[in-house]
Amino acid sequence: MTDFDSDNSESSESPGCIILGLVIFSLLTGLLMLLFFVGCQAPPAAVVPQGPGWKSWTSADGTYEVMLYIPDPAPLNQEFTAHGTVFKDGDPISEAVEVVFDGGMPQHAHGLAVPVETIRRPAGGFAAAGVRFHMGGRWLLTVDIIEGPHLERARGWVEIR
Amino acid sequence: MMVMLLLSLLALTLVQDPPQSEPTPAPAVTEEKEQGPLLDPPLRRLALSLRRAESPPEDRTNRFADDPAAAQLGQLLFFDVGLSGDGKSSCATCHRPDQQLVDGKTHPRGFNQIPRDTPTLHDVASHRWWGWDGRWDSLWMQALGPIEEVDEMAGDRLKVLRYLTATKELLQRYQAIFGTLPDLKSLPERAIEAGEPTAGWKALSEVRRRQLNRAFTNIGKAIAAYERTLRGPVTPFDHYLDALAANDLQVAAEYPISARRGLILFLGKAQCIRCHGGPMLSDGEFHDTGILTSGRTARDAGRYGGIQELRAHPFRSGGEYSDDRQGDRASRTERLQRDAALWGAFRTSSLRYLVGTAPYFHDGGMADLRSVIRFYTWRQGARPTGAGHSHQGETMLTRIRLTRQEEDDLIYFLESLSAVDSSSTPDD
Amino acid sequence: MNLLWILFLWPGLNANPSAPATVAPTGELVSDLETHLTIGFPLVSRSLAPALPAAICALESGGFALLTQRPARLRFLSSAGALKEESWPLPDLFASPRGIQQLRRGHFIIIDRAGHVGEIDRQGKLVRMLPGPEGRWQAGALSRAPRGVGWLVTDLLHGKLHHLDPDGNVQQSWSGFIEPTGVCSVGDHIWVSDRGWHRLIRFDPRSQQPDPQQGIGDHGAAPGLLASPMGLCAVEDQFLWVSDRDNHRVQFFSGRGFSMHQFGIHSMLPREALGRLHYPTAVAYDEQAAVAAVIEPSERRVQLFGVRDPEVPVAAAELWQRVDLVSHYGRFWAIQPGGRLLVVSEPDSERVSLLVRDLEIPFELDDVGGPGAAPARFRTPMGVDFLPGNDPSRWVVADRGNQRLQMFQVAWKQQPPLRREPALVQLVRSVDMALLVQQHSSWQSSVPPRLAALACGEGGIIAVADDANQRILLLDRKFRPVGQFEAAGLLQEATAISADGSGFLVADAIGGSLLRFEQGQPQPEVIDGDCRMPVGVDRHPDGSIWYTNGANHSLLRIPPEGGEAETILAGGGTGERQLFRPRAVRIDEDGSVWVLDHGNHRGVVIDQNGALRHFGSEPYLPDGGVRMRQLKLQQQKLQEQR
Repeated sequence: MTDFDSDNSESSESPGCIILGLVIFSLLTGLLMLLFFVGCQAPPAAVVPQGPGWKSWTSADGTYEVMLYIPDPAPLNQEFTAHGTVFKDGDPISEAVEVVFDGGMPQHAHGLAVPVETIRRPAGGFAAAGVRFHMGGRWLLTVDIIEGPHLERARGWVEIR
Repeated sequence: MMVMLLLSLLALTLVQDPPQSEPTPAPAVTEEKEQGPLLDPPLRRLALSLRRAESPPEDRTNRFADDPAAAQLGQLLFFDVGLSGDGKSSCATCHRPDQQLVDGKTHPRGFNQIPRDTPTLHDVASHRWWGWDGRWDSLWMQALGPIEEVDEMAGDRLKVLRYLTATKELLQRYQAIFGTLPDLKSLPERAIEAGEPTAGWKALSEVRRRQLNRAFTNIGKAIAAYERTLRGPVTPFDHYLDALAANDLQVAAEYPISARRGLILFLGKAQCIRCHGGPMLSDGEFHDTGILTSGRTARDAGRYGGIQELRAHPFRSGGEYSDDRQGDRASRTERLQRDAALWGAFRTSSLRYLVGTAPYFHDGGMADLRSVIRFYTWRQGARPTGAGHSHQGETMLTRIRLTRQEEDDLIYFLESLSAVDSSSTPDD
Repeated sequence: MNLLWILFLWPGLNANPSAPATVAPTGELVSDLETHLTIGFPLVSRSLAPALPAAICALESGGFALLTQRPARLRFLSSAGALKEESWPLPDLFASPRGIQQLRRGHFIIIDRAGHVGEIDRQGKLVRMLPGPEGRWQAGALSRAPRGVGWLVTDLLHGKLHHLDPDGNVQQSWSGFIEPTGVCSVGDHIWVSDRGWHRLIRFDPRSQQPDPQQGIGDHGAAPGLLASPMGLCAVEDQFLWVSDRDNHRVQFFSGRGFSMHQFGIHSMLPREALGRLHYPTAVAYDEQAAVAAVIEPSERRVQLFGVRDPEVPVAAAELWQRVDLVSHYGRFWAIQPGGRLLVVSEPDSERVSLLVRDLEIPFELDDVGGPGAAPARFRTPMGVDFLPGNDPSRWVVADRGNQRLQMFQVAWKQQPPLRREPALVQLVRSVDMALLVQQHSSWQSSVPPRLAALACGEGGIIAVADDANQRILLLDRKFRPVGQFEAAGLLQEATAISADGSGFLVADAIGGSLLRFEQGQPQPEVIDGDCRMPVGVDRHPDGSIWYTNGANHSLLRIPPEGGEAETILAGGGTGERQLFRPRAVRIDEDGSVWVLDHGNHRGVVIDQNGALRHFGSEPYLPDGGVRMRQLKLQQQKLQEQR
């Protein structure tokens, strides 16, 4: 069992979020159809991932929406790849924006035993391979979004049991 | 051989998390009767996560890891005193087969004569890092360390290769597996002196040094192939877990009730499983648990020094002598970063095969299991909270008050992780 | 000690594996090493008050030459501890000396913080000026170059090391340092101590570039770890002493980087000597006499240490009582206006702590930091202040070594009983000021910014001192540039800043003035142009201005109508109404005055009724329970009140 909670937003697993997600999805679908029929050449709207393991956080100053995937349940003592997508003003962030994923157990004053490197993927994506929760308990995960000199952080908790 | 790796200590990790995040309170010992011999979920799931692995993890950095001929050669080398500097000690000198593959001693190391405990080699191939400070990232790399270590076998790679050449059986076996040994003419007497490359070694060409290193690492790979066969015996706890998995009430009931109570404590109230999880009952990583000789004011650098040693060492998994330079293990090592917070952190010991492998902890500072349990539960002999741990004052472990009966139960459980009949008694 | 052990150093048990296995690469034993390893017996302590010792070197004939600041003078000290009464004033350009080395003809070469290099004689008279590096630079340390050919000087403004020829012309330069606070040569290698990296960076100038990533040490208290390393001193061209400043000790390293020995216990009380040290900044060693001289500017003194009886065991405190065990309440703190929180910037331990302040003893809820460049870590945290608005509470920290600002927040709701909550403090955002300065045309400068004091004013305007460029940069709450304050000739260093209505009050310790800046005004208002060394300032709700004076350990009040300042607290001591090296002043909306009494490791609060109270940190050792007992009593009291 894996529990998530973000410091800045409701978990996307809450019913409200699901309904909201469906509404947004419907609106986006409608909009896409409309654009199609009028022959508009605008790029397709961002696809917001959903489903088990997907969590949605807002960065601390509200600039970014971070969709993060951690396997559910999050494995103990096994390496996996954490990945996700970052949006700004509803659009995926550009390729020039850096994203850094990290994790740790503040109660025990340690981070990931083996640091991970976060690579950017197209369409606002990012991935960090080799993540390993080596202890059961509460882990704090952070996603830093860096644009030029500015960095803003999103974070949330995960309970590893 | 005085293999300086592996663990052995016993460590029950009592982990404190914020109350709001605590999982459902674990069943107390008084609920044991309701659990029954097979335990109820979720404890059963947790217990089964401790099942012994069928075989050690694959080691792609050593393509001879599962080669029987290499293992046979490795076995001969393991017991051969010819690898040592003075011709008197072998790996088996400290890892004694008649004594649970330990010698029951701690050994002073280095300028400061810092004590390090001899760990057992049972299931040694199942570790994630080797050495109390994790300075080795493969079993074959570890096997080579003590041979040249001044405080251990005080040998030398060139002397080892000469000895191999001069010993017909060893040479034949080596060449059958690894091919021809490099030419040993016109070599300095030693490659390493007091931990430093000798002038003669440095004067050799790069190609020559590589050839010699390759042959030396082959020896490590042969010893590692043998050590992979050092599986610990099946224990009463393993039998119990098999019964749990099979829902075999009859066999499960044979597991002593006191040990089962100890297991419930281990999984619940005492939260030992937080660090001592998985088939080896270890998270495989490094912590400062508040032992007086650990932490940021201690003299033994622990993992902080281990990382730097490993990152700089040519025999690491990402180095040219590895058979899987781009693999996961190599990538893991390359991602390690020096971090002063890891000063005085030591590897979480496996809890398997504790009986007969005392003393415990990286410094051999605890003589028996009850002392270890009281260190964790009552913090007896531990540093004050925060002292020498970190600025933040966060604490890995807090005191939990176990009753005398609970201590006894935990000891019973821990002893059930060994196949050796224990002579310990609950009253100390 | 058996010297044979030198040959059996096991690198893995110490800080740096690239260093250690043997101290003598050629294998021979070093005759005096055993003596060096027993240095640590306190011989004598000599006060230089009111002057601050600024630099020291050993003399070829034995004894030491000392440079002081305020006043800037040359003095001599024998290895037996006799301080010659005669002292000679330094040339005018050398008001803030930073290094001294002896020349063969009995003269000295000296450097000054402002970037001057000169040769003086034994009476301090200027013989000649040497050119040194071109342009504006700030001298950090001076040493002989390897094999005695020329000089090495460090530049704190640009993080550089320069090799000067004997005539002071730059031969070679190296960059990549953060704060190169010390330098010396050992054999063919150059060693640089870097306070930002908390490392010793060793390299062979003939074949290598300095690589701080591979330096020796990291921030910490264990042997081989360092906290703000400063002055270096070579021994026998094979070893070196290191002033491990924030660990309040001196360490002895082999030429390969193995920490072999240390001495010094942290002085907890003002001017506490007899083997205790307080922020030692430089060390010199008289090899023949086997005497080490250690200067401590904060204590205005020099102490000599000699050989101690090897049979006498070293006190446990000497091994344990370190930077990570004691809170100093740093240089800066901030109170949440009208709120309950206090944040303290603690550069010694590279952290910022968050406390609840409306208790007799403020309770630490959480802290943030740790050394390093990763987000939410620090390299010398400096100024700190709360942003206006309380939900959630946000504050900004000037992270000097990383050249950035970091903003944190805490959504803390009171839930008795109080308890520590790790990760309660969250990083909101940060900004790389070096990059921002480059991008913002009106901020561009040839010298990278060096951040220090900070205050948050009306509308969330953040004012942060850029010491390197003698200016104050203004940003909004998203860390976007909105302006700057400059005042050529008036502002030398914004030592402390506080919000003051629509403007900012500034204490300039170098210029000895109190200023008030207002956006849109071309020049600041000079509130007091002659107040010696103001190090903290704030406006009281009644209109008065309160400031701390570092020169005489006092707290003063300038009435709302102006005029002569009234002394509120004074005297460099531990008394109830005394301060020792006071720093920040912050005044709450209710008129309570919070003074950071750095030298006494305590805070002083004067409430609106004039009542005084103190709170302070306790060392964990030898009695680790004191602090916890205090906290428990406090919590009980709180619960009873409820």
